[in-house]
Amino acid sequence: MKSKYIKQIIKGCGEKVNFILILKWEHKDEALKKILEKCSEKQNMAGLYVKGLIDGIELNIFATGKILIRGIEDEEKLNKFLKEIFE
Amino acid sequence: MLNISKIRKDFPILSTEINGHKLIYFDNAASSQKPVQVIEAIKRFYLEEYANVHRGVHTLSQKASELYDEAREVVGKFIGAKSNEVVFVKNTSEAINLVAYTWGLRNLDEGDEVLITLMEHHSNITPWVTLSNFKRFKVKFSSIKPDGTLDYEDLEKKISNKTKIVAMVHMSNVTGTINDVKRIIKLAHDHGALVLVDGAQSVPHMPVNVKNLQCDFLAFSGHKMLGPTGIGVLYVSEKILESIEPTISGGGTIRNVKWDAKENTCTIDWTPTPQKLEAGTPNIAGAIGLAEAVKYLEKIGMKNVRKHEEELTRYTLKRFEELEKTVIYGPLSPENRGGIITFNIGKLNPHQVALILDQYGIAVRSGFHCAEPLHHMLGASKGTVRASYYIYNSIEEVDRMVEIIKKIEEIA
Repeated sequence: MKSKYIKQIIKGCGEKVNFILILKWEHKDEALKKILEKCSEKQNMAGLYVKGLIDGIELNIFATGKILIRGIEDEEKLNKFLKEIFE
Repeated sequence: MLNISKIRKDFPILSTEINGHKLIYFDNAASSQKPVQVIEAIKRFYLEEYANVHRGVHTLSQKASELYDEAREVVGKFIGAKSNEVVFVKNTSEAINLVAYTWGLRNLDEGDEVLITLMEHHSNITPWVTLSNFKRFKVKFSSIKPDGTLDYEDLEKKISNKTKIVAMVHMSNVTGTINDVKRIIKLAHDHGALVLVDGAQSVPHMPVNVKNLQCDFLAFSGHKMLGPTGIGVLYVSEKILESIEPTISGGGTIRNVKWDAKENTCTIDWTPTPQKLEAGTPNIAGAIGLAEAVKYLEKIGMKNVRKHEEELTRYTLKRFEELEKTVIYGPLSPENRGGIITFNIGKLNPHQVALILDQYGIAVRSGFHCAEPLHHMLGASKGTVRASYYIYNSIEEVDRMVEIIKKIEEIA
């Protein structure tokens, strides 16, 4: 997926598919801001990361510009989801 | 005791900062870092000694050939092999595939069996399963015990005179379990079967001698043992070396190709092994870099490498006893476990844990580590977190990881 913000999407292995989104370092802060604005039910997990929901999809947001996306198993749906976030 | 601070000076990357923290590199089972000696050897080769090897008559080609041949000797001695028993390949995966698609293609047929274990890396599962789909032999899986050790009794039951090869891992890349391969090799040979040992995790971390083990094949990668990527080794016992014909052929593999004009046919005369299994221009710089890595490890001594990692493992297992929500996989005795600590924290996903540790500059791996069947056997279907050690890792680094895990346990 070509994006101003996304450097790489890693499909993590495990029983349930998780995607790890790596943001481009130079646009990391801008991207994190966009994500956090759209997140509901935000929880600071003991200062380790921020947990939030967008359209029922769980996001674990790390200050390093990496985001664990849980609840989407399909790459097409993921691309659509990300497009909507970063539009 | 290893002089860790002296060793660490040879690895400049260990002084870098990751996410504002000093790098703690615990991803050695995936790939190790490289000492300056290896980097310099490769640099020197490209700057001062580079040419293609073998048939060149000019001086530089002769020099490059000497270095390449010397690399084979150095690597051979390291595992107790003769240099003609050392085939340079890309990595362990290629080495295992090479056995499957040279020896296996010619020797395995319907009615035959290949015995592997449930502890295998996918690299030692998929070549056999794939080949069995068109050669119609059976692939049998030997089981493991709940503690992650091999179920030897099950293996003894599954081996028979139908077994043509036992292909098994020496040290598990997930649990660190060190298998008694010598025992299995004896058993396999008693049944007339050959044995391939996947030494990807054992050769870099402990003394391994093919003559002592009596294995027929041994596969390992250079990049996991301080060497560069793109170079690995397949040891093939001299006893079977000449009976193997290449499936990938071309430059360097052929002595001559004779065309019979009358019959309109071609006959091939192969070069001697190992060259006949190394088609095309080889990874010369890779082999030279690997030899330098071997020299570095030999200076330290493989017994010392093993002892150091055993101590780190013992210490980690002890420190993990303080953790309340962390589950560790594999045997709890450092004597039969390599420097690999695989765990999960409460209900957390392993990728979550790896991403948190990454924030503190601690590099670990998460997921199935290319060993999915083993994860299901261990009841870790969501995957695991793996911290794996090497010569430059310290007790202080283990302490730091445990400290962060304690923080993670608060949210687990």
